[in-house]
Amino acid sequence: MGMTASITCRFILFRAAPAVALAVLVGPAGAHKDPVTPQLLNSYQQVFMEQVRKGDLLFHGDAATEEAMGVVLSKTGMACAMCHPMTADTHPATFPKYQAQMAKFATLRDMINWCIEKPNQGEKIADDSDAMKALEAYIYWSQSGSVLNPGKF
Amino acid sequence: MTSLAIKKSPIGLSVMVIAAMTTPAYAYDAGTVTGGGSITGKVVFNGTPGTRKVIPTKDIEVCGGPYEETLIQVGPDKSVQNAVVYLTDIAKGKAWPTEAKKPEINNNKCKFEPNIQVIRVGGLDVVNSDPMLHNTHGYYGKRTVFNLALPNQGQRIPVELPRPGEVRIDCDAHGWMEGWVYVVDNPYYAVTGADGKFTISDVPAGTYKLVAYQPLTGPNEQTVPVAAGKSSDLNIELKKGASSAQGGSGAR
Repeated sequence: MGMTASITCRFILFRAAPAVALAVLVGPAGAHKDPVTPQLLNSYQQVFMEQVRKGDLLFHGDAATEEAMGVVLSKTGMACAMCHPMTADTHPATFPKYQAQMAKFATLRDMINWCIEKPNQGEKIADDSDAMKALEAYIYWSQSGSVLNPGKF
Repeated sequence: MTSLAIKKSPIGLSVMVIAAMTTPAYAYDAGTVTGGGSITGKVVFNGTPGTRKVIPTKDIEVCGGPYEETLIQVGPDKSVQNAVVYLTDIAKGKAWPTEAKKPEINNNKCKFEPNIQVIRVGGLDVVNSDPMLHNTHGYYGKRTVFNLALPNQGQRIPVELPRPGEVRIDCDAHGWMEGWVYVVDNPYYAVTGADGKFTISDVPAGTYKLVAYQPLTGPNEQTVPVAAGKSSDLNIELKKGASSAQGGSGAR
């Protein structure tokens, strides 16, 4: 920083000092989050668990849930849980990573669609679809406690 | 599913509605065209072609090591090779070209040969020239049309592609493999050469929808008038991000 710039900076800081002091004393509006009540927490958890519940049904090939959500996850009679009981071997905590089956850098959602399209011969679902969110919720919930390890093969 | 269940089911209902909206397939009436016109042209791409890095993850002794694959074959003058150009909705016209042999798609050294081809509605042989398992999987859009395990070298399995549209082919065992088969219901089609040029001849006079397609870019559609004995010369620019009215399936 040149001398002129340094002087200018000091000048600005000097002039601004009262305002900064005032801000520290008063505090900007909304500096703190609103407290989260147990009731609210419970509501949030209920929403999450409802998605987990739907994901569980989809993961286990529940036809009524598939129909209600407008997806065709399988045409072979296979369901996700047949290869992945209790979401075994899904490793959500390792995504995104280079996924060998796909030979591409992939997210968990890409992997879900790979399984739908390949062994299940179903129809890929949109990344932002309700079904995708529910499947993701169920898989992550089932693998709670996993340590994030993105990129691990 | 019973017919009653279809009536009650939202999915069944939507399928019925879509089916009602889809143009029904018709039989093409092949004959002789006298005094027809022709459509010639050149397909170009002005964007950055781009490549994808392919890392074979298994059977490396056959598939080879990592390589860069061009996503669109563009010449120095921007001409696009292997773009598919076709007319849609022609019920009557010239005869189909004589086929020297039944069309096939060959798994050879973990690549599909040919990578892009046009065939008429009907049969296609899926062949494995490699000494290990390939699992060739074909889709109309999102829907599987065939899914074949070919564990043996020299294996050949016939499949049926019953309707026009783009069929994406991949391999469940070697995820980087990708190929395309364009199924047509009339003989008015061409695949561009290295110079990006194409000719579609003996077109009955009239106005037609012409589609130019390449997997990276998607379709370019335009209306083309054809006059008897005349040639319509087109310059078609393909652009990335073009979306098909049929959801990218290329189905017509």
